[in-house]
Amino acid sequence: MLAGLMFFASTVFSAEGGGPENRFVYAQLRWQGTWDPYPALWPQIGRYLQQTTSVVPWPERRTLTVDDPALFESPFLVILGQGAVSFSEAEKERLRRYIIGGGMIFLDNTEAERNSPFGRSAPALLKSLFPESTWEALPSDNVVFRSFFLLRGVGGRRIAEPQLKGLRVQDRLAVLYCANDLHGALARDHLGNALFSCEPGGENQRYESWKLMVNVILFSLTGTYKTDAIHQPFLERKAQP
Amino acid sequence: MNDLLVHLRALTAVEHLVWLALLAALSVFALLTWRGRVSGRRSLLLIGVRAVEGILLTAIFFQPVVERRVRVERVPVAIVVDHSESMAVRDAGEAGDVSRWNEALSKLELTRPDWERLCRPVYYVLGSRLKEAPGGVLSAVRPDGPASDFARIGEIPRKAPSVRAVFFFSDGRAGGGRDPAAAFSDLGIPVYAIGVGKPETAPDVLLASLRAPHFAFKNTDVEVVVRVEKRNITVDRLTVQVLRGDESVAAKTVEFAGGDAAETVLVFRPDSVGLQTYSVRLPVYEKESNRKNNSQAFTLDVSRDRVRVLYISGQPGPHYAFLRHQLKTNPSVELVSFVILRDPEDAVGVPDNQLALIPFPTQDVLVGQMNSFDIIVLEQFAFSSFGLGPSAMAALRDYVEKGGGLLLIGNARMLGPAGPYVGTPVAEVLPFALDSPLRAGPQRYILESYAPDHPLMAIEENPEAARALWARMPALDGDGQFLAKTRPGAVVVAGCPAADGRLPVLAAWTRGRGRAAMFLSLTSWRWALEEAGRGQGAAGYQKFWNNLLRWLSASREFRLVRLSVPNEPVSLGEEIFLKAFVRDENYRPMNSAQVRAVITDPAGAARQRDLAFLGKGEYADAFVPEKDGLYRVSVRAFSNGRKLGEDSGVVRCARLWVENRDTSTDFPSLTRWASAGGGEFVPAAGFSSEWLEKNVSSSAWSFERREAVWNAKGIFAVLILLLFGEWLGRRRWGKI
Repeated sequence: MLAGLMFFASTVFSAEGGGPENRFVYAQLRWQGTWDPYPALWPQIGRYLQQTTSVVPWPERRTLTVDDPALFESPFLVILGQGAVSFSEAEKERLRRYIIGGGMIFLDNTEAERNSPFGRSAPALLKSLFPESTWEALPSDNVVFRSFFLLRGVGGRRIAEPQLKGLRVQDRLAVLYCANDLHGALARDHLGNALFSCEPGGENQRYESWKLMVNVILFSLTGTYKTDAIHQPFLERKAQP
Repeated sequence: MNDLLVHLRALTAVEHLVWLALLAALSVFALLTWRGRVSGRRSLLLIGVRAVEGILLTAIFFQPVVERRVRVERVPVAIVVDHSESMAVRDAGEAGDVSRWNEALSKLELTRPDWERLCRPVYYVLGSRLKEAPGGVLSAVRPDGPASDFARIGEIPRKAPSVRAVFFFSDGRAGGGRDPAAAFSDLGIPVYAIGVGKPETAPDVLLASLRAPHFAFKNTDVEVVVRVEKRNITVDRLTVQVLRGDESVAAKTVEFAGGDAAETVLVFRPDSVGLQTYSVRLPVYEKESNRKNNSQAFTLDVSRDRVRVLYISGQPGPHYAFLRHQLKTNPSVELVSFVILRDPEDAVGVPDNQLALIPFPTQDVLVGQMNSFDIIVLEQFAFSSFGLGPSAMAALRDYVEKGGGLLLIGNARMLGPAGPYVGTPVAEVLPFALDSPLRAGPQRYILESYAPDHPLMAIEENPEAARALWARMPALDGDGQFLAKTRPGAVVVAGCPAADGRLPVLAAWTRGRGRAAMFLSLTSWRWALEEAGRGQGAAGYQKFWNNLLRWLSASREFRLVRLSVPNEPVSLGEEIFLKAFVRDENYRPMNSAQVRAVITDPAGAARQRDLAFLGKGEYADAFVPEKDGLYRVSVRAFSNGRKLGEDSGVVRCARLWVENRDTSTDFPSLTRWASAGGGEFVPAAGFSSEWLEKNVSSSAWSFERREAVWNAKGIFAVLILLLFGEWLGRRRWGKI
């Protein structure tokens, strides 16, 4: 069913005239390590996003470095890859300003191991920008798990950690960290076959990963919207087993 | 009867010392210059000369004055009776006791034959002003003056030049602010003070001070700081209440804890909006000398606690993310927000129970509860896709005309001629001409201010700083399509330059009692994020959106006509100044308006007045309140018969009793002042016919001639001749 939906979506995912304006731009950070293990993945995510939600994604992935002026034109930034992440002091200051200015960062550990170089360095680096903040494990009723799909857990290629983590800056959940290679669970070859198997949950876990990816993007665009009082009775009713 | 009197100048201690030193010096000089013996006759002559010289020098030093005085029968005197409110105090605090005022009148009445026999009295009553009471008829006067300004007694010689003494009945409680001692000493006639009331501190519990805000928000805590004092009364604790009418809204027990003063904070929450009168009240004790200072009223202008905003976005995007966060974190905004997460044509492919989506509550919120919102924001919202038809758009139009604030945000595709809003009823209240053809413009541009005085563009306190900040704000972007025209009367607040002129991007106006604005950009979030990248923070973005919300909600400071009236209570009889600030639609000072005020007094009687132009959009007038209570003032400004706006305010007028805080007698001050005036003080208990006769007698002399004998030129000439003669004689007799 998912493959069918994505085929249908591929026929409508295209750019209109002008710049991105208010459309969702998927921006990915180029850093010194293996920063781009899934270069062909964004169009698939974009198509699924457009097909299932009212979000209008900008078709092109925007890759940029911390020094790139386009960083501050990209409210949503993905940092993924393998290896230790490090930045100069000037770059760290730019990232700090980016987050304070309203930007959101999604860290995805494509090594999918708890103590991998990426898993050790990237969260610590983001934490060092805001010493007063701490990483918090997001419970299953966090708004990230309710921003579009009702989810009960985290997805990814390999479940290295059972929860998403969040870094709250100025009372806003500004950085999300997934230790499970969420992007890897979505990656496909040119024929539409999954590149990796999902462990331990198989295809169901992959499906949940697609939904989590959509939720992360919707969370970046709607913030705490689903915590508003008007949603609560509906969500509580639906959340009952 | 005539007398001749000689007065010598009173010497100070220093002058006494100087005088002794001078005498010693002269004696030494005399001994040193006494050379050898001279014959008896010559010796007698020299001693005589020196004695005369000494007498003359002494006379010069002591400055003797010779006066001739004539006794006057029935000398004119002024009798002044203090009639400030403290004179109404009954010191013992028991119902049968006489007030200080009655005590003064009683003493006057008892001694009236003596007054008539000894002098010709002129009667005055003293409050904040000195007024004559012809014939001494004081029975019609009440002790209700706001304050005793004792220095006014200095006006008596001007009012009655023949008066030779002042007899003054008072409790000594002053409220004039000026020190009477200086006025009394300059008076030139003696002032005698008769103290009424009891010399000990009057028993009292009083509300010494009250601090309350003038403005408050509904359902938000209001703090009232109350200071309570007690004097000469046994009270360990008491309950302070805040009342609205007769209903208690807050109460607190205050412990004095061994002292005579205590402070407490009472907190309450107004549950309705509008101008409200509250009072703080203390219990009244039987022995209290003054019960008027146990309560005090204050007014509170209560506004809605927060601006209720309904924000509907047709599409999740960065604009919604940033603006929602801005509104959600603004404590003065109550946000109800909807964003369309799934369009009807979207295929999700999962059961509904796996979706965190709720049906868009079209009828319930947008139509049913529309009027409960102060502002409605529609962003890129294709209403027709969600079952909203022309009737909903008509309701939205009516909402604006009845006083609501409407903001449409979107691009030209949504809000232009091909969009769903064209031809709908709501288009009538929108500042852009939606059916005007689109014009091509830049896809990326820096927003330019076209109405720099408009509050929407005031993102800095200083207009110059705001202009500079706008010039460096990050560029907006879009598809390069713009709506070409705004409606006549709409203010183009900002736009972007184009080859063939300006392209409007932000326009606003007032329609009916409400306001509507359109912002044709979905990328203002760049102002926050890109400015942060420059290290400038998101202050410009936040200020712009706060301005827009406040303007849409008709926040008072953004009104075209603003009235300024005194916040503090005004005393009856004092002028109240009204000032109106009038701006045109572009918020430039309006100098040619007609501004009319309607003043409604506490009894409901209304009168109209025209305000005079002062300059720079300011208009003013003044009136004198004559009744105790609330005066409501509303102003309306017109230009060429067109109403520009209106505003209203309220002024609380009250009898302000400045001596209210402490009503105890102050006999030490009376004593000091009387002494400064050359008179004396006597408590009412010691006031008698004998005392009166003695002091009237001392004032009953008319000084007809007064000569300063020491100051005659002849004395100096004689002194010089004697000194010269002595020198000459000594020289001839060979003693030099």
